[in-house]
Amino acid sequence: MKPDRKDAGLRAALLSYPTALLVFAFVIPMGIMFVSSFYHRTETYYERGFELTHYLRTFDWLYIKAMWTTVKLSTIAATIAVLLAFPFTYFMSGYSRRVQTVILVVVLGVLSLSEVIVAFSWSNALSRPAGISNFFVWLGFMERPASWARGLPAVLIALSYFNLSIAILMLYPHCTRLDPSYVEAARTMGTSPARSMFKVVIPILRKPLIATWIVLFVFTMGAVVTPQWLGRPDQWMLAVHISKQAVELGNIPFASALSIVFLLVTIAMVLVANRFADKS
Amino acid sequence: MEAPPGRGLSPILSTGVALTELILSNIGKKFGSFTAVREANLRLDDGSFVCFLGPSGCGKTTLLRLIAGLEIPTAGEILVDGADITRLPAHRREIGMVFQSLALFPHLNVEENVAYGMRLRKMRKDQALRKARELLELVKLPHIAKREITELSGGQRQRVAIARALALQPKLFLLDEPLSALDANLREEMQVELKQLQRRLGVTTVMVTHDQSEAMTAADVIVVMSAGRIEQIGHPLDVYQHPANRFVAGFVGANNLIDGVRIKDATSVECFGESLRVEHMQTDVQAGSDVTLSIRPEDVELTETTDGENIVRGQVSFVRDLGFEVEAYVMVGDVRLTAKWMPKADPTIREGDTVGLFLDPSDIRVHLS
Amino acid sequence: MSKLLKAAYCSVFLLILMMPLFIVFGVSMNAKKVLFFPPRGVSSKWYSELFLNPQWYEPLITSLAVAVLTGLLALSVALPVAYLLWRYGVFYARALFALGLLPFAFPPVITAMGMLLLWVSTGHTGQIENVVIGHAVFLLALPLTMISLGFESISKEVLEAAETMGANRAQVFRTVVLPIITPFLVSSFAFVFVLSMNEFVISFFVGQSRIVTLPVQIFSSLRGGYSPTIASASVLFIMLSFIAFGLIGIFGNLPKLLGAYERQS
Repeated sequence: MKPDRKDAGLRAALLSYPTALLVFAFVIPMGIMFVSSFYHRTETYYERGFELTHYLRTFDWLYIKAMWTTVKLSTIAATIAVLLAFPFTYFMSGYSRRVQTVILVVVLGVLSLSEVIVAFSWSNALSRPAGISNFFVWLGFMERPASWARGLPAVLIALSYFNLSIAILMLYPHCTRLDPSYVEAARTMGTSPARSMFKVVIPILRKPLIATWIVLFVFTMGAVVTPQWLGRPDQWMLAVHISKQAVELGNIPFASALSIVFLLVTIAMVLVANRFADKS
Repeated sequence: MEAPPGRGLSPILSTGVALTELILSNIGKKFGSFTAVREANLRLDDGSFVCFLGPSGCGKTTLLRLIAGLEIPTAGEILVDGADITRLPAHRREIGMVFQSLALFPHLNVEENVAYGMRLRKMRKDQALRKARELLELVKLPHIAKREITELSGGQRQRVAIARALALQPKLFLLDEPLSALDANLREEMQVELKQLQRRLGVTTVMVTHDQSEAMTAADVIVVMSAGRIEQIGHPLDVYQHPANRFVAGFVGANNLIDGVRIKDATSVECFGESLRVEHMQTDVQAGSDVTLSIRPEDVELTETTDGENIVRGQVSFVRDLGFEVEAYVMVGDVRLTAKWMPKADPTIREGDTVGLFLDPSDIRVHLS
Repeated sequence: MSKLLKAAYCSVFLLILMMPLFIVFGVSMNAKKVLFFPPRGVSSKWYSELFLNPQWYEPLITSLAVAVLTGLLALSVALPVAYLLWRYGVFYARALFALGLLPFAFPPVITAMGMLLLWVSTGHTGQIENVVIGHAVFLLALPLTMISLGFESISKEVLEAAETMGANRAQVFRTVVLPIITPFLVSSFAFVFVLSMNEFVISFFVGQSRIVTLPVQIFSSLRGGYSPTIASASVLFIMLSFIAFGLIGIFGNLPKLLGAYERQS
């Protein structure tokens, strides 16, 4: 069946509806955001204009630091998540369909959790009265329960945690579709199972692994609640600032400028990561 | 349900009214700048089993799809019983088709698959399923009606696809390399069964295959194709014994091809530095022109002497004894000829032996290069 | 690598994955208004609070409504795009598909920011449809990819087979295509529903305190002081997700829906 003139009309109609929605609700907003970043901020609101004050302000030390923290944390969280999730997904794809289904349900359940709930859960888990430090006290490793709920490690843990499920779901199709004869061939040539995973499977899955990393990176960059609840103000990631400026302070032009800069940095990082994928 | 060969029989499956005569007139099909089929002229008679035979890419599947209506020709006409159906879409042609991948519906079980066409025509569900089960009996799969498609073996899926294609008593039964996914034993079995089924039902059948033994087994008529052109149409044995050109000679069955031969006159050619006598030369060859000779391995006789009319001399380079037949490669100059014979008929030959090969004038075929 | 080692790794991994959930569950069962684990005194009163106190009850309803509407909207957009891309593969369909994936590729805060600006500049603020559209556009990538996966599982020859048996194009769609992709439609809906329920950033930006979803409510409550109702709301979310995906796991073929190949007999 090939397209013919008769249903060109039907096709156009079918496509116009999604087009309209996407243009209206995505393309135009992005455009507005771009334009707004040049607007003039008044006492209570903002008005049209053209000024670069907001862009200049993004270069304040506060925001540069936040940007750097954001990139750093996102990189680490993405890497940790991929490193932990990959072996899990690889092992998991060797189990029966039944077991896989159960695991997938758990993973999906965790995945869909709101950032709010994840941050909340981990702040509980790392707190003094209710957290896992109590478990360690019970085991005898510690004398007194401690609060680990504020600080960079907490933020990192929560961010990585959130990413684990995404990583698993992204790597799942690739791990299950992997042709077992690759590993078998390596084994017949004397490679141990561990080494064959490194020398055979990982190179084959290089592209999906890097793609997964990129997705996690971008996702983590956008963390809003986690740094706020689990980190100190000087450790806030950029999205937190954008959120505060836009919603609480109503400073739309500045928030827009921050967003644009943020977007550019994200895109730049993705391109770098992509280069890394092609070269290695 | 015993039945004499010929036209359709069980009341369920009689092909009813239609006499079907299919005519392809100067059919051509281009995809962009690529010509898949050119100047195809063909007439299929009612009840015949036709095979389109040729190497991959020769256009045989395209031709089948043109008949099915899954492609529209860029040139020419298709007539069924006199009516022009060239532009008629596939769902309005009364065909049943078995695809190379079988294309069984994954969301329906076996009997629902077979009943699909009937349900489409608003037949009542219980009736349709009953007919479906009868069809499954016809293809010798009586007990699997309720199974899921994923639970079937390759051979079983095959038969379901056939049952499904025949469910609506189509005028034309089309098959696109239906047996290619089966292993050798099953394949041979299915070839025979298909032929028997077709004889029983009497439906006009067109099958595409690249396997010439398959075509020889099943077909009443073979259509040999190459690079979009029909090279020869004829009864299998005819095509085998009288190939129309060099391509057919080389493609259908194992054959010896000798190039660079020159015509001397109406009954002799120059080959291997000798003069060979040839009967049945085509009338349109001219003296002095370059031709190719073909002669079947089983027509090459080993002789004790190396001189004589139509006897050439060569050295045995390889002998293959298969038990029921023996095959030998003999080098005549630079050319390798294959000779084949029944083991009891000739004395034992060894590699390195010098032998004479007798090329019977009535078995030599001449083809333009 | 020994089987034991593998199993151990996987088990520990899963345990860590589920650990915060257990803790939240335990916290939600606390009799007193404190954050203790293991809970001191078990009570389910924080759960009834969720359903009785309008401060919690209304956001719950809002979240549910938004989730259902988002699911419907997202599917209604994703289905035509995925279908046309698969059927015709024309450049425009491909471009639209890529565009549909884009919002999900950006950090959610960017999309949220953009949406906010859109509604502010049109003066149409604080309406529930804003949140629905925001969610639908953001989550579009999910049904797009899942439904495409479903279409890809249909081979062209299957459609042609239906044609040869007399089905016209509409019939082919109705009797062959639709039944095959329905499981993918259902699971896409479930995904979008669950993720919409849990979505925070866009709801926060676009709701502008007038439309309050449950995650937003949790967020603002925590500012004002801790209440275990937060924990019970969290548990509710967790249960919802597990039930939704558990159902799909039981009735559907979850591995296949997520990209594993169909097992050949």
